[in-house]
Amino acid sequence: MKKSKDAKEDNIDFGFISFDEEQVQEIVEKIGFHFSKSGYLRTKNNESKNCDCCGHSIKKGNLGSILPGSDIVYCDNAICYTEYMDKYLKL
Amino acid sequence: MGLPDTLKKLGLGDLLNILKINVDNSKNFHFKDTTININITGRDQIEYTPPNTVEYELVRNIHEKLYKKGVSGFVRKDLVMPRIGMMATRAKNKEIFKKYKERIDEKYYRAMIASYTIINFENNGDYTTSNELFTDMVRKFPIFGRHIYNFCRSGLMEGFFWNKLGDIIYQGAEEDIIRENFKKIFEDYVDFYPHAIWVNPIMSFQDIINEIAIRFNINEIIWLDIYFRGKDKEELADCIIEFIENHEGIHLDSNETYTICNSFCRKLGIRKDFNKFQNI
Repeated sequence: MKKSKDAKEDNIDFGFISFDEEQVQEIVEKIGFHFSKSGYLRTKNNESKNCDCCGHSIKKGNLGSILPGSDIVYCDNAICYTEYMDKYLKL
Repeated sequence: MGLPDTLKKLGLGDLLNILKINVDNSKNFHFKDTTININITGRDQIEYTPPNTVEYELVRNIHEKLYKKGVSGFVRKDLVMPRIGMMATRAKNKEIFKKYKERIDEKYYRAMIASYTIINFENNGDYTTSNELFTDMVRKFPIFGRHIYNFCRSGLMEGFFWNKLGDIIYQGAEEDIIRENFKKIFEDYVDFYPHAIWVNPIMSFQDIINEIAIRFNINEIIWLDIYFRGKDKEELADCIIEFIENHEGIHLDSNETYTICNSFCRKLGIRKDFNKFQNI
């Protein structure tokens, strides 16, 4: 899955779809990921998928966000989102 | 800009007819108790909960299209507000963020985004969200998070550091040199800022005196501000004033009280008189 290039080029028109914990499974499957038997987020190739900002491993309970049009995930520390604003959005 | 305009702008105008039918047919259509947020860049926010299955399908359809276009992601419900806050803050303080982008270390820059967001929530009276964000920030940046917040809250990013950076730019150096020099200067000030003391919850009277001593015993430092926050710090501030009034060679220059999110705040400005000053 490609990185969020579109969002970088246009920082006005994008949005987030909010979810609660019961919907995590569906959302993760939507982008082709899954949770391992031990509960950790894995990619299609069964590789660990950690928070792109702080590197914490992701479980159902601490998945904070998946970035627009990408496979970038952040944990539920709200501050990790500042990485997205810094790296991917134009000022 | 409303949802229809947003969808048109995204090239998803074909969804409007479906949306219109659903809106017209549903008496329950409302924008509360939400599950979707579209276009949350600080200028505009649309939240929508599909009240029935038909509309849920519609919403899923919108999601799919937005996601495929790379303009929509997913966020856990309780994190929506902080994200909207960050977007709004960034839009509001664009000039400041542009000024410091890549001229301070990225970890400080990110703490700066978080700090201005916290300040924004504080200024709007949302103490719960600001407090949660502050806790998250200290968890993420335990060493310097509070420092950066203090710099932002005390107006140093718009004043002191803005001028420091301005001086370097004025010297006409190349951007690479400006970045390199200012990054170093900023890093040093994060380690130790000589012109202010931010009294944290565990600081005692003696701790503050020690901090004043560290600063004023350095020859070139002739002024500093002390910031107190919380009603429980009022008495401590009075004790510091008493100390200042009784110590030879320093005097109280200003004494301001104000509130942040209904919380008592006090700022004392102290000045050193070179001729009379005796080490503390």
